[in-house]
Amino acid sequence: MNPADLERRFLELVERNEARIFRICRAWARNPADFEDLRSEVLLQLWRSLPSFDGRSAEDTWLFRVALNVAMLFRRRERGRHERLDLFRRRAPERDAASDPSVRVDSRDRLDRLTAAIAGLDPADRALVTLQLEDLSYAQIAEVTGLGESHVGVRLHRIRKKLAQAMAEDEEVRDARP
Amino acid sequence: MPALDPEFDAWGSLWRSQSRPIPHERSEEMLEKVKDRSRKFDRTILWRDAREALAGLFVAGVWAWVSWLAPGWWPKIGAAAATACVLYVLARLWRARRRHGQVREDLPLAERVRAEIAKVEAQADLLRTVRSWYMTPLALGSTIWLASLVPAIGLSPGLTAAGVAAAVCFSGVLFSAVGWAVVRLNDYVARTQLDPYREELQQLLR
Repeated sequence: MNPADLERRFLELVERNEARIFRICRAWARNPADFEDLRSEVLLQLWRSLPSFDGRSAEDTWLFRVALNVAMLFRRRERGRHERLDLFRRRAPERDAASDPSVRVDSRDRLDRLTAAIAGLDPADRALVTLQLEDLSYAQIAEVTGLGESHVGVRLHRIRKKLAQAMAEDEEVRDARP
Repeated sequence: MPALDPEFDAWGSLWRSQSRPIPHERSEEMLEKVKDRSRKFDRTILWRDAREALAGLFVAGVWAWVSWLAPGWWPKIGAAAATACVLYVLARLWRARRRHGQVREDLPLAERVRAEIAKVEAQADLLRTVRSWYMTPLALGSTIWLASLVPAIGLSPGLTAAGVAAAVCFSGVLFSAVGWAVVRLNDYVARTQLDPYREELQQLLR
């Protein structure tokens, strides 16, 4: 592939998947600076991996692989999970109100809670649930992660329960506030 | 795919409603930034490898030069052995870098994590076995060279038995001290940085 073709293909890929990249970075970054670093790293690795994309897997499967591989290993710089969660909870409302006008005000609160609940999951669980929230089938998730389809199903069932519980607990805490 | 609960479907819709990256930069600007970072990345890797190779080749060159100038055959053979030991260390580092250096980012997640674990384990192994592949060849090379000076005593005017004995003692103490520090430091890095990271990666596969 010549450089001009590569550039055109990369720009089209990013344009088609801009929102997905944005959401993955949002699920994995703990603050706005982290978000920018992660997004740059995802774009860099997409650019570097694109010449070896042979079309054997679907474009979105390939994109999710690159983005999630980067996101999962990007987290090594971070500290303990609880600290991450606390930071995320503190920062999320402030960041969302300022940075995401596409989401209506009445939805922001629910989105913050969902994002905070996702941030509280283990990295592997977070990757799985992110893919399901992106509306991928179990077969597609299995292709992205390299896990068996039935294993994906069982794990996601457990993760959804965990997520629902976290959301419910968060709601109880909010309701209890004066 | 089995039907999900309506609540999760609603979360999915909400999640996918986030669609506008802020700030939204122009495509050309973004492409330039990405290409620039990619070039910097390549340069960093190139310079890192070049520095490592140049440092090793410099030391090997010094030993080769010593071999060339050495008085008599035994010192020449000793210095040549030291050169070979330095080249062995270089080759060992180069092989480790080739085997685990660049991992493809478009592998399935589990495979990518396994590749990262293999890389971390190889790094930790390299650090923990530094005594055998790094310290021993260098000590061996120097010892062979110093031992090879013994037959030359008397042939070279500046070379005395007392001088060689002092050099052997000095290099023994120096190698022991530096070796001890290098082994401890490498072990410390493996224990405090690589082991926890490997554990973190293994958690991802559970």
